[in-house]
This record gives sequence, C-alpha cells and structure tokens, in this order.
Amino acid sequence: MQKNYKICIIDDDEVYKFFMKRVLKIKKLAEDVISFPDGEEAYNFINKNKEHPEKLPDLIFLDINMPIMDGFQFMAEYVKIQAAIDKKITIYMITSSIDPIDLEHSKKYTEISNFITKPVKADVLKKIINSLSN
Amino acid sequence: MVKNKYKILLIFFILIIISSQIIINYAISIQSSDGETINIAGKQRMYSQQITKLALYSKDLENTTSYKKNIDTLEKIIGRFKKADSYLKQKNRLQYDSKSIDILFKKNTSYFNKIITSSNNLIETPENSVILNRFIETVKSNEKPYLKTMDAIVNRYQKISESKLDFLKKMQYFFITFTSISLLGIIFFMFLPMFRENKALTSLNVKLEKFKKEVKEKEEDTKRVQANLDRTNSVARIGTWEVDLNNQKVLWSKVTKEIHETASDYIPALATAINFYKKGYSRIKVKAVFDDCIKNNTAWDEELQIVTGKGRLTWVRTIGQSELINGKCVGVFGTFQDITAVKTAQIELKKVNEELNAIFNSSTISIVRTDSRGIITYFNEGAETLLGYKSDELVNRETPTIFHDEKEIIKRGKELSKKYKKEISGFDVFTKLARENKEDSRKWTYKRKDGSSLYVQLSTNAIKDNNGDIIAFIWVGTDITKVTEQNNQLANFAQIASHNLRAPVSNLSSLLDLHDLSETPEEKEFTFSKFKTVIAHLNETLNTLIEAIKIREKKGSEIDLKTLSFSKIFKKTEEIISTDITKLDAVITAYFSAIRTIKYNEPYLESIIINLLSNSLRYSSPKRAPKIQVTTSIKEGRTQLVVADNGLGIDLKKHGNKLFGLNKVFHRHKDSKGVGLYIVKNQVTSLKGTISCMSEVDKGSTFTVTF
Repeated sequence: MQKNYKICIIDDDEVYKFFMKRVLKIKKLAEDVISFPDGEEAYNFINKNKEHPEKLPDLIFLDINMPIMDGFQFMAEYVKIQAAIDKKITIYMITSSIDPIDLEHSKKYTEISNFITKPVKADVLKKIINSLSN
Repeated sequence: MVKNKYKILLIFFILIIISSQIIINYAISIQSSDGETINIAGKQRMYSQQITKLALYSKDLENTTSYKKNIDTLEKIIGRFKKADSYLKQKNRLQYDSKSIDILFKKNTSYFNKIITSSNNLIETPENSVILNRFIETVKSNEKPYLKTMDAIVNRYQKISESKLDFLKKMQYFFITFTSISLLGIIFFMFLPMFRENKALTSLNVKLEKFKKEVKEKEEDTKRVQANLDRTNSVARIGTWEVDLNNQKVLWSKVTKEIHETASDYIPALATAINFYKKGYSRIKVKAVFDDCIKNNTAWDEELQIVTGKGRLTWVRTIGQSELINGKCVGVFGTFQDITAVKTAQIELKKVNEELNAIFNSSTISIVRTDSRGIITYFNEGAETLLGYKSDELVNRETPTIFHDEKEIIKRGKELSKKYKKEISGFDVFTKLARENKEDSRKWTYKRKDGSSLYVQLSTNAIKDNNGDIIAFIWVGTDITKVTEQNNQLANFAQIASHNLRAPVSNLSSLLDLHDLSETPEEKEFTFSKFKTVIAHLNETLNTLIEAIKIREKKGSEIDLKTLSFSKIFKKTEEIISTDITKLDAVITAYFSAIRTIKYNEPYLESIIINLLSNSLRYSSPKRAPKIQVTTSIKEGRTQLVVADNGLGIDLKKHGNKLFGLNKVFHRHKDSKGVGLYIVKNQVTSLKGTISCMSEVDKGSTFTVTF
C-alpha cells in the first residue's frame, strides 16, 4: 500500500485540473489534492505554510503559461524560499508547450524533476506517484 | 503555396469540429428518440398488466355500482394500449426496420388482438356475464405470452440503442484523432516556412560565400596576369629587319621570320611585307609612319596587328628609324617584337578590373576594405546606400566600429575572450577568426548615420601578401533586415500554435480518457459536458488566430485608408462602452486639439481606441473612480494617441515582454482573455506604427500608439 501523498496542481486550465483531480481519484492515486490558478497564489500558500510541512504538498504539477505569475517566475521565487521549507517537494513541469525553448529553460532548474507535455496519461501519473516512494 | 495549404488545413480543421458537433447532436437526438421508444414499449407492459388487473377486479365488482366505472377505466386503458401499439409498429417500420423486431411484433399481435377483441366485446355488452367470463379467460391466457414477447422487443431496442452508443463513441475517437492530425498538420505548416526562411538564410550565406570566392578569384586573376606580363618581358621575342631603299630589298632576321610564321628561306618584298599588317588601322598606320620616316626622318614605335603566314592574328611592336647617308635617307631599319601575350594580358586585365569595380560598386551589398589596423581604405556604393555615410567621411579616418552596435561588440568580445582565454575587444573582435583563416559569417546590427538600425549578414576575410602577412581586411555585408523580421513573426506564430492550440487539443484527449475511466452514466455525462467547453475555447482561439493572420497578410496598400476624425471615432466607441462607464462611475476626458484627424483604417482605429478604453475600465482600481485621459500629440512628425488611466497598472518588469502576446493576462479578472492588446498590436504594426506602454503598479498605465 503506497503512502497517501499530498498533491498540488498549479494551472489556470480548469478542464485540465478537473481531469487531473478525477483521474487521481478514480485511479486511487491521491486523496489530498489542492490546486491554484496561478503561480502567485501557489507561492503565497507555500510561503505562508513553510513552517507547517504537513500542509505542504509532496508533489507539484506546475504549468508554464499562467496569468500573473507563470511557471518560471514561480520557480524563480520558489528557489529563494526553498531552504526554509522543511519538506521534500518534487516538482514536475506539465505543460501543453512543445516549445524547445521552454524545455531548455526548465533544465536550468535542478529542482524540476521532469518536463512532461500534455495530454498526461493516467499511467504516467501512476508512475510519477509510485516513484515518490523510492 | 504554404500559406494556402495552411489555410485549407485551418478550414478543414474547423469543418471537422463543426461536423463532429452536428453528428454528436444528431446522435443525441436519436438517442432520445430511442429512449422514447423503449419507454413506450415498457408502458405497453404496464397497460397489459393493468388490463389483467381490471379484468379480475370486474369479476369482484359484478352487479355493484362501481362496475360501470371499472368498465370505463378499462375502455380508457384499451384506448391507450391500442394507440401505443400502433405507434410502436409504425416507428419500427419507419425508423428501425428490424426484421427480428417485426417477427416479435407479429407474434405479439395475435395475443394483442385477442385481448382487444374480447375487451371490446365486454365494453359493448358489459352486463353479459358470459362475455365477462370469456374476457377474463382470454386476458388470463394471453397476458403472459404478450408480456414475454414485449420484453423481448424492449430487449432488442435496448441492444440497438447500445450499439448506436458504441458507434457514437467510435465516431468520437475518430474525430479526435482527425482533429489532432489536422492540427499537427497546421503546426507543421507553421514551422515549415520558418524552416524555409532558415534555408533562405543559408542560401544567402552560400551566395555570399560564392561572391567572396569570386572577388578572391578576380584578385588572383590580376596577380596571375601581372606575373604573365613579367614573364613575357623576360623572354621577349625580338627580331630585326631592314629595308634597302636603293635596291628595294627587304631583310628579315630569323626571329622576325618566325613572328611572321614564314619559311626560313622566305624573301619578303616591301609591298608584301606591308601586306602582312592587318587590313585597316594597322596597315594604314604602318604605311603612314614608314612614309613619314623616309620623308622626314622621324622614328616610330607602334603596337599593331599582323596576320601571319599561317593566318594567325598577332600583336607586334614595331620600332623603326631611317638610315641617313649625307642627309639622304637610304634605308629604314628597326626591331619587330611579338607582343600578343602582353597585349592579351593587358586586355584581360582591363576586363577583370572593370568586373571587379562593378562588383565593388554593387549597391545592394556593402563592401568595406580596411588596412590591417582597421582604418577604412575603401567604402563602396552599397555601403553608402545601406549606411548613409559617404565614402569621404570614413576612408582614412574611421574604423568599422563606427557603424556597429557597441553592445554587440562587447558581447562578441566576451564570447571570443572566453573561447581563446585572453582579452579580445574592439576591432579585433571582427578580425580574430579571419586572421586564423577561419570562416566568420554572422548576423550583426549596423547603425546608420541617422541612428536607425538594420541587420546584416557580415563576413570578414583577410587579404594576405605573398609572405602571408595580412595587408587588409574585406568586410562583405548583406541586408537581412526583412528576412530577420519575417523570422521573428513566424517564431511568434509557432509559439502561439505551440502554446495556445495544443492546450485545448490535449484537453480533448484527456477528457476522452476520463470518459473511458468513468463508471456511472452521470459521471460520463458530466465529462461529456466538458467537451463543449473545450471545443468552444478551441473555436475562440482559432478565430483570434485567423483574425490576426488576416491582419498580417494584408499589405499596407490593401488596407483601406480614410481621413478620420478622432473625436467622431472616440464618441462612437464611448457609446459602445457607456454601460461600463456608468457602472464604474468613470470619467473619460478627451483632448484632440493637437491633432484632430488622421488618415487611417476606420475599423482598426475603432478597435485600437475601444480596446485601450475597455482595458482601462476593466483594470481600474477598486480604490478609486476610474479617470481616463485620451489625447493626441505629434512627435518627430508622427501622430500619437495616448490613453492614460489611474487603474491597477502592470508590473512591466515581470510582464513587459508578454504584454502584447496572445492569451497573456496579468490580473485576476473573469473577462481577461489576453486577446485585445494582441489584436491591437497586430493592427498597429500592419500599418507600420508602434505601440508602447508605461505603467506603475497601483498608479495606472499609459499606452502610446504612434501611427
């Protein structure tokens, strides 16, 4: 039995978030899913709760193109407070972009585990979540 | 060609989406009609049971007052029973045409008729207890088989409906696959021209290389010819001749005979000797100088052409002078030299020089030559045209850094310093690779004398003397501004395709997955309803893109221009957004006293003003009533429109580069789509204008359109 992970989805695409939540639920991959419509709201949440690791996610699915604060701007802010966070947070960039520039850019952040292009398949999600236990 | 393919694909794509909508809607209506059929068939079951119940009940009620009422109810139900039966049979004939159902119906009809006939008999003579008993018997014995066949019919209908649903699902997969394929096609055709443009750049480079090679070859030609000249001089074939006037005898030396290509024992006469000269200028000239020499004792030195004994045309240098005895001319003597090689070389040299000059003065390519220290020694017409400097202003005065972008030089210097692990800066930045005989062709920004800039593909080569020392550098540059701009535009489109079109398509695919994973019909239906949202979004994005393509494809001359009054257009737009103005209590002031009219495209100007105004309203600060000021002004001879507000403002440090992009939004607002400024930017630039923004968060924004 795998551990019950807390998962965070940062994306402005409602349909995509709906899909993710349903699949995670139907496939029984995660019970606890939180989501934010843009990088700024997610950053504020993490910053506010950096001393409460139980409230923070184990895994973040981060989109690139979002209003107000996009995925890379979020990463730029996140790395600044990362040291103060007492929890290992795995970050996957999941985006509809197939722009090679975005891929290159994401490689600059060692904090980003991988770069995945939408659409995301259920078994890919399963693999990602299973890999958290290792 | 590519654009057409790409348009066809776009249209095709939209057609697929529309047809999928139509087919899905049609399927849904069929599905509901199927539902109705199943429902009515089910009801038939209920009616037959009710008839049985009423029959048994009638027995109990016989001879009571309620008996009549019971028979009335029976009549009503029989009526509905018959109506539903004929509906089902007709529908089966018209819509399903299923043989197996037909057989079931036929079987079913005999039971049905028996029930109907006996109940009709009872309704006609309700008081007859024999008929009542017979009715009860008939109903009892026929109801069960009737129900059985009816169940079988319902079952068949259910199966038919399920198989239709299955088919619908397959159709969906088919459409999604098709949509994705055509979308990939669109993306492919979007990238294709970019790829081609790159190819164009490469071919430009190849041309440049070829051109450079040509220049080099010509320079080598010159050298070769020069060498030829020297060699010929050293092994000059010079013969002698003399004419004895008293004896009318002509003497030729061995070499002279060889030059004339005559036999060694050939004896020329004065007339025949002169006839070797080519008819025309050469012969007339030689006669003239010869006669002049005899009469006036003048010597000659001429370069003329002869036709040799073997018929070959040869250039000769003939020198002659008179021999005097007691002041009287007794003879003429001189030298005779074959100068064909020299002469041909000279002519060739002249030609080469002319060609070289023609190339150097080409007005589309800038060619600059510097000495080894970088001082400009040559600045061709092409360079003058491209850069706006005159040759005299630069030659022997400046180095090419004067028309380069300083920042680019510093940047390239850093790159080279890192690569060679030593400090390289200034002029060396351009010559480092050329000095090492390495290919150096790259994009640079040139600054014209008037401050404007252009992009050039510049290649630098070192010219070396025979010892291998560098004596000069040649800089050949081609204007690639247009290609570069096109490239940027295409990259922008490709980015839109990559970001904005892929998102909805990947959503469609995810929803299909989810549809499959869903277990209950409610779940499935809920998922299905999301399809509509996504398709609507896709449609919207495509429409915006098509609009932008339309704007970009129109050339300046195709856009209809009229003299427009700013205040008229402003009033018109103000009316359109008047509800928002009142709702927000906004104050909009307009001053068009500086510039009142403009020659522009009317829909574009309307779009620009309405988008800027509605943005100012939409992103107004909740802390204060919106104040918007619209003014016109003139700057450096160009009309400007300035829209300034006291709204939320935008953090330009964070979002400045995305401000005019498609689907870029910077505030949490339900109506934000990121389309307005994108369209405005396209409209402004299509008419060679610019749009810029200054903003401070929580203070306001100022948009300036320069027409």
